[in-house]
Amino acid sequence: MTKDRAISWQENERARTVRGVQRAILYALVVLYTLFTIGPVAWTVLLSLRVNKEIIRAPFSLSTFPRWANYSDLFGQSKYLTYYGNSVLIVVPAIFVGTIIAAMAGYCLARFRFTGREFIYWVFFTSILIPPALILVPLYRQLVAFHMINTRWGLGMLYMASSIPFATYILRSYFVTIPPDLADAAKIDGCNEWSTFWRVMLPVAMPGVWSLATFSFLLYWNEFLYAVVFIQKDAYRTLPLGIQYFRGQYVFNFALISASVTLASLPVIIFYAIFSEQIIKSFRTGAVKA
Amino acid sequence: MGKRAVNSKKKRWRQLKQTWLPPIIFLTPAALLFVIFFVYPLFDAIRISFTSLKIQAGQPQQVFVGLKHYRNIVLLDTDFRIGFKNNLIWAFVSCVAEISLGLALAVILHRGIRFGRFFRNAWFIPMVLSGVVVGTLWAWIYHPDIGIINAVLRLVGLGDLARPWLGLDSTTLWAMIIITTWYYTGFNMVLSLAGISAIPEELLEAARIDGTNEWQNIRYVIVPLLRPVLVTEWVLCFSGKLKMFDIPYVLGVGARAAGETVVTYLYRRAFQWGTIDLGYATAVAVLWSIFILVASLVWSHVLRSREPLEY
Repeated sequence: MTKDRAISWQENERARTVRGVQRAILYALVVLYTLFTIGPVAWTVLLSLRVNKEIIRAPFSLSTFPRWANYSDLFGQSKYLTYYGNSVLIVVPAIFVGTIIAAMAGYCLARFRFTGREFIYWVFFTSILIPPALILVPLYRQLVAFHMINTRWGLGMLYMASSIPFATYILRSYFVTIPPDLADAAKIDGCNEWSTFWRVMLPVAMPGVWSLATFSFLLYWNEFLYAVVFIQKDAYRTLPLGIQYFRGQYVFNFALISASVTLASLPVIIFYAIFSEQIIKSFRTGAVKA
Repeated sequence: MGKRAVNSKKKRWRQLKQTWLPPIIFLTPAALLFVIFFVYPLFDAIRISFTSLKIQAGQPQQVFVGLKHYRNIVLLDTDFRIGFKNNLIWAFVSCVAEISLGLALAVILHRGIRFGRFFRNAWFIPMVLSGVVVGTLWAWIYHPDIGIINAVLRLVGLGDLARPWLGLDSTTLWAMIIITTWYYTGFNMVLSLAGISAIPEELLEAARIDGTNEWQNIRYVIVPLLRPVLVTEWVLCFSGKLKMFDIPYVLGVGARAAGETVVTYLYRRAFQWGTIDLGYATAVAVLWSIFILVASLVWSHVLRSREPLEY
């Protein structure tokens, strides 16, 4: 029950001060946590713009800031550009083709009725629970047999294949929410299934497709396990592999490594800055479905 | 055949095509990729785990050994046990930290603070970084010489507390726990935030009128209502930690007992040691996957609400 007696102005003042102090503490904690979160990132960006010797000598000084030459060193002295190119060449087509394939499958599972449909859906769904580490060894032997080791298209196909269950699942649930009248209207207008999909359903499902694509971008760009297992030749390394290699090669060149790290994370961070709503939402939908 | 019989046959063929052709066309690319790069290796893995597979001079040699690998893993493999123990401790501690921190942040965001959108985005940023990047960042923070932590300690005169955080066995696991908490709290925060937003305002309002202070509000109102979301977070978080590879590998602690996890151990056994038995490594993988699956099912069953939530 609410307290019904009148309170004196002294008690009111005290309560307000207490609340004020609570608020101040809250904001202090919030700011502290934000420093904790962004701190490491900001620190590394800072390191990437300083002279290496100076980093070792005086960790906190800023006297040699900014040194853009670190970045030109990056491209000049190493194969960083190659790694970047590899990542782009692998990730972008994989997202494009993979999303379309998953959309087709998701649409099929949502719309068409045929025996075994529920079974296929169940198979896709449960396979999400299986960790990729499980199939590493047999997958390796398989890729060797297909001559897909140390190839860009090999890794790309692997990325696509590994996200099929999840992507299909997500897109299917999205297609299910689209009213069937839309497809019927298209059919009346003379479309067959194929053109219905491409001209009507897919465009309507664009938000979901786009959400999945951004999520996949984050996933593929940062992927490490498959990359490190299936790519050993330097010419085909992706960015995560490249960074790991740098850490071994240029152990004490912190400036160079931070530059590589910053540049490698730039696409994702820019992506995130633009599409933060989307990305956060796609993480949510993905997890909720799980 | 008579004309009518031919026509009905054609009609049936047409109907069959109508039911089956679209699914086949739409599903085949996905199914193909899925079967070739997932289903087949999956069964192959199970098969291999029952054999002893060694590559001698480029030629594979397989010998059927039945359950020998499994027996050895469980009974004899100390490395596996260390990785197992580390993984469990890591999973428990990190998940508790991530989820409670995420919940706290979500509550704060939900109540509303100035620049809330900015803070939410900032707190989520670690999630978009690669495991390699995260490992690199934190390896330097923990660095004994140029690391921020030790530098600050020395600055404030606590220099003798400075130590190689990742190098010492006693601190390695905790250092990594802090890293994953930093990494994944944003994810849990976002989920909890979505969950809290789904609670009708009237319920929270009613609780407030009844005189509960903030802490009671959280404990007795929000948490119970958020239970499904929290259980999902726990299951995802826990199984995610068990599968963790990027961070311990990149930190370079995977090779030492203190930092070993099962998956780094698996990787080393399969791809880095010389004359190893791939069958053994695969058996480790199969065993571990079964464990993860069972653990996830057990958690989601044990933690689920007794009665259906209604609001």
